[in-house]
Amino acid sequence: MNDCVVYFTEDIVKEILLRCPLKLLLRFKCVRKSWYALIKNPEFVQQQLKNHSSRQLLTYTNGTPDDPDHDYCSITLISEENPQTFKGMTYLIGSVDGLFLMYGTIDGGISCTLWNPAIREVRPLLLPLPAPIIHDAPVLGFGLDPLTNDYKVIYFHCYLWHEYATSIYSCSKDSWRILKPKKLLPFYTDVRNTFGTAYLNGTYYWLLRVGHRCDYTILLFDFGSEMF
Amino acid sequence: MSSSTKFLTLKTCDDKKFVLDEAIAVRSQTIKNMVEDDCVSNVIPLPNVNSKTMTKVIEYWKKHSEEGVSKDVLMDFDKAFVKVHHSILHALILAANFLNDKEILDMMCQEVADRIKGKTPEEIRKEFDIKNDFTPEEEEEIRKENAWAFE
Repeated sequence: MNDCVVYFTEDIVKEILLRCPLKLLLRFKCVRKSWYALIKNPEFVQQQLKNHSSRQLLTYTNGTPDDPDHDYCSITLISEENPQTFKGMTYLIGSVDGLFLMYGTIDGGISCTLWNPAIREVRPLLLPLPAPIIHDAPVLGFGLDPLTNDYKVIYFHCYLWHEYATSIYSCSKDSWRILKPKKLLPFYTDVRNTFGTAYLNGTYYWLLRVGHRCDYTILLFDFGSEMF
Repeated sequence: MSSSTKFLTLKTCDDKKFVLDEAIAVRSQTIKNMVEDDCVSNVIPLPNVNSKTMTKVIEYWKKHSEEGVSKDVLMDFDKAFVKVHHSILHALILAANFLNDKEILDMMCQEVADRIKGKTPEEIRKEFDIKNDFTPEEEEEIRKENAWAFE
């Protein structure tokens, strides 16, 4: 019997590749076209993610006085291999399946970036118009639409007195869409006092504080129905 | 054993026959389905499995069906079981896939995955006898996507 050459079916190849660590898969994308397609397949990615959840450490630094960039805060990922640092990014949202949304003020404007530390990929997001007024803190949320398996970013900010602009970004379409909330957001509340956020099962939650009094409200956004 | 013990005869592609306790043979989902559907005659043909591979599979089935065998013993057995030449490893994967034995399939796929760690795409193509269907330009482009992964 000639047992040197064995042809595996696509199913078996998938079973083997599912057990490989991510770095290896990124290298194996160029083995052949069908492997490339498999490794890029969202369903495969989800399954592989479940099998391999490696721990990495994220640090957030304020910078030191010795640091010439000490005005900036930065986010650093410390992994087994290369660290990745993002200067000026002051907020980090996530992770949702290992993905993060970062934002901060860089050169007087708000910068916003999606980040996948595992494959070291960053996708800068151009925030939609109208542009936020300086000193106005935008509110962002990041999550997964369980209906379409699409990662989405919800963004709103005040651009006039109690007028809110709301947009939603879809990762699969790589574009923003203006969202018109069916009813007015309950925003006599000062969203700048936003603190305490959470994401769970396709819904983003913000704990809002009303003015200087200690009244709290919870605002939630459903990524599936795209409703507040 | 009670008198109800039933035996099945499995016939591999090289015409070797294996007589096996049905209770053990049904570790294969494929054989189990055949038994449950009552379509088992005297001999079950296994056209995709040779006798060398089947001997290994049966060795595994018997060990894992032994009564009172400790987890540690089974772990040591499994560790030794996967230490085989890659041609046997690949044959076992195909056999486990045909017999629909998820346990062996999982273990063997994991072993292959462990063995290909640290290999280059060229070595992988050689090992799996895969033809590269990318043009050199396309391949270069894909390598650039995650150049750090090749470090």
